[in-house]
Formats: sequence, C-alpha cells, structure tokens
Amino acid sequence: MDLVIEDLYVQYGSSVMAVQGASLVVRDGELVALIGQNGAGKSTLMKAVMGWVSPHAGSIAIGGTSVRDRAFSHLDRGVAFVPEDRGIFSSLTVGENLRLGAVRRRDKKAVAEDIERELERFPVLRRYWGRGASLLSGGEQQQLAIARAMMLNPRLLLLDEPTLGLAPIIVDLIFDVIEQLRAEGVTILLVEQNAVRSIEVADRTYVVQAPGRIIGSGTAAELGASAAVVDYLGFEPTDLGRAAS
Amino acid sequence: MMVLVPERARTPLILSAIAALVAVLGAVGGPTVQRVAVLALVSIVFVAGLSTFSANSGIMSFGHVAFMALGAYTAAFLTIPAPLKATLFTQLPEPLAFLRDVQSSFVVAVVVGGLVAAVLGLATAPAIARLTGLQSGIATLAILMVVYNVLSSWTSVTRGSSSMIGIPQATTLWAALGFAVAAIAVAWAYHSSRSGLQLRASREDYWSSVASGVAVGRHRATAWVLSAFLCGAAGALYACFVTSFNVSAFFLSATFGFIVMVVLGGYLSLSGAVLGAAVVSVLQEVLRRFQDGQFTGGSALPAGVADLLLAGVLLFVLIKFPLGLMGARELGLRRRRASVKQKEPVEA
Amino acid sequence: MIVDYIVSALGLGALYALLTIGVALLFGVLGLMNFAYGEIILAAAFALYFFRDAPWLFAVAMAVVFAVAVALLSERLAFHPLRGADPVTLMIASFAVSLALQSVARMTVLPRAQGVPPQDFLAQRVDILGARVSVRDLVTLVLCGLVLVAVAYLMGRTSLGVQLRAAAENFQMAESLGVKGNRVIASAFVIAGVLAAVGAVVLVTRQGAVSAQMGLQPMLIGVIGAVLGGMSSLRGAALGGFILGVGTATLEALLPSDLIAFRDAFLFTALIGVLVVRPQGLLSGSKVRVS
Repeated sequence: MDLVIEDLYVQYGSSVMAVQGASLVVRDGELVALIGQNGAGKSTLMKAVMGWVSPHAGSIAIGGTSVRDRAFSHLDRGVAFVPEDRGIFSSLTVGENLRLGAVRRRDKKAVAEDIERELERFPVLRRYWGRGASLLSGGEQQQLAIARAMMLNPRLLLLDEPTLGLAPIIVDLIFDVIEQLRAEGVTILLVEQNAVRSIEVADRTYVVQAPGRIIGSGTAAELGASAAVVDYLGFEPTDLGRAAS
Repeated sequence: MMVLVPERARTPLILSAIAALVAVLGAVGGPTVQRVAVLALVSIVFVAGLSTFSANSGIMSFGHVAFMALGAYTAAFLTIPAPLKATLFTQLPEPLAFLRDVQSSFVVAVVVGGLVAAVLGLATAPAIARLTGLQSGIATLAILMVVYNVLSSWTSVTRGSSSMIGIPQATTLWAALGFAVAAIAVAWAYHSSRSGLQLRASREDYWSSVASGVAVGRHRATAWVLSAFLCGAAGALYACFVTSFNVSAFFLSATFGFIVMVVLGGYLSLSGAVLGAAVVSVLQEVLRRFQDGQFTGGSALPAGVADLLLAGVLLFVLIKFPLGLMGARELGLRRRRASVKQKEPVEA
Repeated sequence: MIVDYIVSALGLGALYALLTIGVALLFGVLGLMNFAYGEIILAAAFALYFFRDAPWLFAVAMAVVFAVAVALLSERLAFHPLRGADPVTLMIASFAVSLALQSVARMTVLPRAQGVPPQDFLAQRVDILGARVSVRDLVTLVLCGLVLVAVAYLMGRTSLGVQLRAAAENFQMAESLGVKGNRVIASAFVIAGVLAAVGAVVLVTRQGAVSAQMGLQPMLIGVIGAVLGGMSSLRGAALGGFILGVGTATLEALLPSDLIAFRDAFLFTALIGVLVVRPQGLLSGSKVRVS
C-alpha cells in the first residue's frame, strides 16, 4: 500500500511552519526511513499522515485516496501508528493494552492467535501480562506499543522514534523487530534520529532538516553522493561500517 | 477626532461613550427604559470588575457575584434609616451592634461596599493566586457557595431568606453613569499597568512568564482584589437602586447572567465585557417582555422562557464564537494583532 | 442508636459516591465538569412523580429511561459540538444546559414543587442487632452499593470499561486503535444517566418531593466529591464521595443545631483548602489532569 506525500506544509499556531514543502513516497512493501535532528518536523509529518494535525497545504494519499477524504479510515486501510510517546494507556494492564489493538475484531480465535504471535515476538509482555502498563520500563512500553499496533494486522506501519532514549541492547532488539516486520510484508515508515542504524535497515531514506524540509533521499550510496546530506549528517552514509563502529 | 486622542486613552473613551449612550437612551425613554438603563450601567460596573480579573488572567470566575452580594449588604447597613434598622435587626450580635447606628452618604456606602468586598478578595487571594483552569473555576464557585450559605443562614444579621428593605434610592441614572465611567477608567488603568501587562503575558504562556521572573501569583492576586472592589461597588449601586433585595438575587442565576455578558462579548477583553453587558441587558429586557406576552399579542408565556432563550444564546455563542464578539481585542486599538490563543494541534 | 447512625452514614456515603461517580465519569472521558448533571437527576425525579401511581418498579424503570434520554440529548445538542474545547468552556456550556433544562421543567411540568408520597414499605423500620433501622436507609445502602459494584465491574472487567478508560486517558490514541469514540462517549452519558436515575430514586424517597431546583444539591455533592477524590480516577472519586457522605452524616450528628445551617459553608471552605493544598485531590496519586 503506497503512501504518497506531496508538497506538504504544516503550520503550528499562527507562525511556526513545522513542515515546509515535504514530498515523499513509500511504496508497497518498502521500509522507508525519515531521519533528521530534533525539531526537524518529522513527528509533525507523521501526525499529518494520521490526520492528527491538519496540513496547511499539500496532499497525503494512502493507497491512492487522500487521508483528508471524509470516507477515509486509517483503520479500514490498515494503517497503524506508534507515536513518539508510545501512547500506552497507563490505567490499563499490559494485556488490556494489547487487546485494545483488536477491539474492532470479532473473530476471537484469530485474535487469540495474533496475541500469541506478539507474545512470541515480545516474551517480556507475556511475563508482565496482568501488570499495570505504567509499571513497565521505557523499552518494555515500546515493545508493548509495537505489539499493540501489530494487533491491527496493519499493512502500513508508522513508527515515530521507536528507539528514543532506550538502552543499546533494546535498540538492537527494536531494529531486529523492524526488519522482521518488513520481512513479514508490512510497509513501514520509520522516523528516527539514529541515522546510522536507520540507513542501514531502510530500503530508502529521506533526510529532513529543520524546518521540515527534505534535503536528500535515496539509498545509502545515493545519499553519500549528496554534499548537503553528508554535511548535515556529519558522516558518509556509504561507509556505514566505519561510522557505526 | 480619534487622531487627537492618545491611543492609550481611546479604549476607555469609547467604552465610556457606550455607557453614556446607554444613559442617554435611558433618559429619553420612559421609566421602564430608564430602569433597564440603570441596571445596564450597574452591570457595566460589575463586568468591568470581573473583566479586570478574568480578561487579564485568562481565568474565568464563577464567584464574583459573592462580592456583589457583600457590597449590597454593606450598602444596606450603611444607608437604611436608623429607626427602620432598629426594627429590622433586633437580634444583632454584640460585636456588630454598632451597625444599628451607622449612617453614611450614598457615595461612601458604595466605596465601603467595594472595600468590604475587597477584604473578602484579600482573604481568598492566596487560593486564587495558586490555581488555574478548572480548579480555579471550581474554587471561585465554592467562594460563592460559602458566601451565599452564610448570607442566607445568618438570620440575625442578614435577615436570612427575608428581604433587605427600606434602602433609600440613591443610584440615579447619572450617578450610575458616573460610576460606570469610573469603573471603566479603573479597569483600563489596571489593564495598562505593568502588573496588568505581565498578567496578560502569563495568560498567553504561563510557564515562560514564570521562567522569566514574572510573579504571576502576585499579579493575579492584585487583579483579584481590585476586581472584588469594583464588583462590591456594583453591588452597593444595585442595592441603592432597587431599594429592597433578597439573597437569592446573588446566586447562580445572577452569575449566569453575568457569564452570558462576558462570554458573549469575549471574556478576554474589557471592551467585550462592557459591550456584552450593554447588549445582554437589553436582550434580557426584550426576553422578559417576550415572556410577558408583549410581542405575542398579550398572552403571557410560561416563566422560564426568557432563561431558556438566554441559555440558548450562550450555547450558540460558545459553539460558534468561543472567544465572543471581541476575542482578545480592545476597541480603538488597531495595530495590535489579536493575540488570541490559537488552538495548538494536539501533541501526542 | 449506633447501628442506626452507621446504616444512615454508610447509606449517605454510598449515595454520595454514586453521585460523584456520575460526575467524575464524564469528567474523565470528556474533561466535562457537568453542571447539568443535576438536571439529569431532575428528569428521573420527574418520571418518579409522573408515574407515582404506577407500580414502583415501573416508575423506577421510567426514571432510568428519562434520565438517559436527557443525558444523551444534552450530549447531542450541546457537548458534541464542543468536543475538544477546554474544560472551562465546557463547564460554562454545562451551566447553560443546566439552566435551559431547569427552565424547560419550570415552564412545562414543574412550575412548583410537587409531593411524591413515599412507598409504604420504605417508611417502615426493622430490627437489626436490637436497633430500629429504617427501611429507607437500608434500601439506600443496598441500592447504591449494588450500583457501585456494578459500575466497578463494568469499568474493570468489560471491554466497554477498558475502552472507556482508554478514551479517558488518550482519546486520539484510542480512536486510532479502533475504539469508537462517539459510541464510547455516548455510553458514558448513558451510564451517567443510569447513575443519576438511581440517585434520583433515593433522593425522592428521602425528600418526598420533586422541584425544578432539586438537581443543584446533588450536582454540587458530585463536584465536591470528585474534587476531593482527585478527578483522575473513578475509584478515587467514589472514595471521595463516600467520605463526603460519611463526613456529612457525622457533621449533622455532631454539629450544634445552630451551626447545621452553615454546613455548606464548612464544606466549601474545606473544598477550597483541598484545592489549594492538593489540587490533584486528597486521595489520588501523583498524576493530575490540569485544566
């Protein structure tokens, strides 16, 4: 399912332009990363895709239909979103959070299977099943948030900074899961500050610079060919091995 | 002509002109129109007070009618003739027995009424200084509840649910106009003061004001006490106009009436409050006549129609124009862009 | 004497907890401090008056129907268009709804207070542990207690309860997961309506009359209880209401008779104190939903 954003402008309040003329494409089955520093406008772009903020100008289409279309439903289209703050409900248990991802589904058996699938993927959730979600650590909450999004059986998954503030070992785990999900055929748009790892796992990467302007895009090699991108990132995306070490 | 007036004096002049217009209409109309005009001017004094607090701080108050009540009762004690007082208050407790003999002029009664209200304002200021949003709204309502409960239960002093009677009528049309103009001037003086300016800055962005060293609590308390004074004065003016009143005049339906005024006009703006007071006073009178059957060929409609329509107007305004007619603007000030709080897109 | 006091204090506590939950539920889900809650109670009370000659259970059922209808109607006409407005705007709007409903009641069916003769069985007394306890107090306790248990079950154990709690915490996120926001909000109003109706049944049997103004007192009780308990959780709110009820019963038993008239002044002064010292409520944890 394609996500096509064209010439998007998003304004906060009356003055701050958070996204300025961004265009990007995520093709069906692709894993696309969007990287850039804090405040570059990445999260705003995500929220615009979800319809949580209204764009000032430009268009966003998923599967050929504008998300601003009255009849458009993110749920029916299979769009799942893991926001930056993870959106965990602290007054619910881990299990209740997870089940909430299947709240629309009536096929009890399939739901049980999907829950089992996610608990296999994130064993820690099985251990803390009946516990209040607010008691989880940040990394555990992130796993719960991704598992819950996967309960929607999404075709397009939007991940906003899934490794922000997490311990390196958990960061590895999350990136492993992201690659695994891509292998399962989920189309993914990944917003990250961890440029090195993102470029590594993504099919293509867009580089955003504040205020919300895309300064380059493509594979690691293509990014490396752009002087502006190399200058902004501070390393050559083509030498990922060296940069990462 | 506007060019000759310094910009900072334009708003109060325009608002005073509106008050004067109300008075003139009252003077040329019949006794009923005059009555409406005086009550409208008293309302202007009240909303000037209310808006001194809520327009500058951005906090809505549901409790200012309590100040009005204190002003009214104070004025009653100061102006009811002593012989009548002796028969009305036979059981005054000892510390308050002096009230039986005090007697003052109208103007003194209005000022003292304001001062007594300001004392309550001072007593409650520490709480108001600390609270915002809904908590503040509930706290102000609680103040009204306490005052109402005391006034309606302390029978030996307030006559409880019996009316206060025999207050000499002293609030003439022109006296009301004078006080309205004075109240507008006081409210505007605070609006233009350093304290008012800093308080409005905190309304836009509380934390950055605090971070830049603005003592928001102190400014809030200042505005609160000043607004209590003005509303107390409005209560005294009211008492000296209607000559007899009941404690039920100072409860939720009065509160509601004033809320309609400031919300309709725009509760972040003094101009909005004054305009709202003028417009809603007329509206209330029209609705009252409508209810009495003046427009339906003499057949009176059931009591409650006027309130129902007023509630409908308020809901309509809240839904369609949540910031009222004026938003955060003031009449006569052109260049400043409306610094209305834009609804921030949801952060999540 | 002691047993009598305990039953009546617990009964009042349960009633106040019930009223508080109705207020706190709508606040939790919508940020709405609903002043019109009193008029939802009024609608139910009117049904009890209107069907006073019908069998009691039928009248109670109609009370539920009336209350739920008025609750849903107020949501549709006033609060739905204001979805997402700040809590103070919502509070002003609910003020308007309250006045409008009260006016309608005064214009049409309740221009003055009307008596509702109490059911005979409620006026009797029974022996418990040697004390003569009034059936009315027992019914209050049992009815309110049962409803509280039912609400606790609904909120804690059912899918609707999970969705309500999720929507209360993060409406947008809940919707993005498939929680039907409008339906959840409507069901919150339905629950509030049912709670109001049960509250009305108890209030009418205690007061023996209905009037257009009768909603004010229970609404205020709900608001105070919710603030006391901290508006962030229903459990806290229920506890706040319960303590308020027991406290009120105790105040009435202990206060000298010439001070009982000032009970509300004491209560509201205490409320301001609580707001200042602990804006998140006496009983709640750390988190507070500010403005």
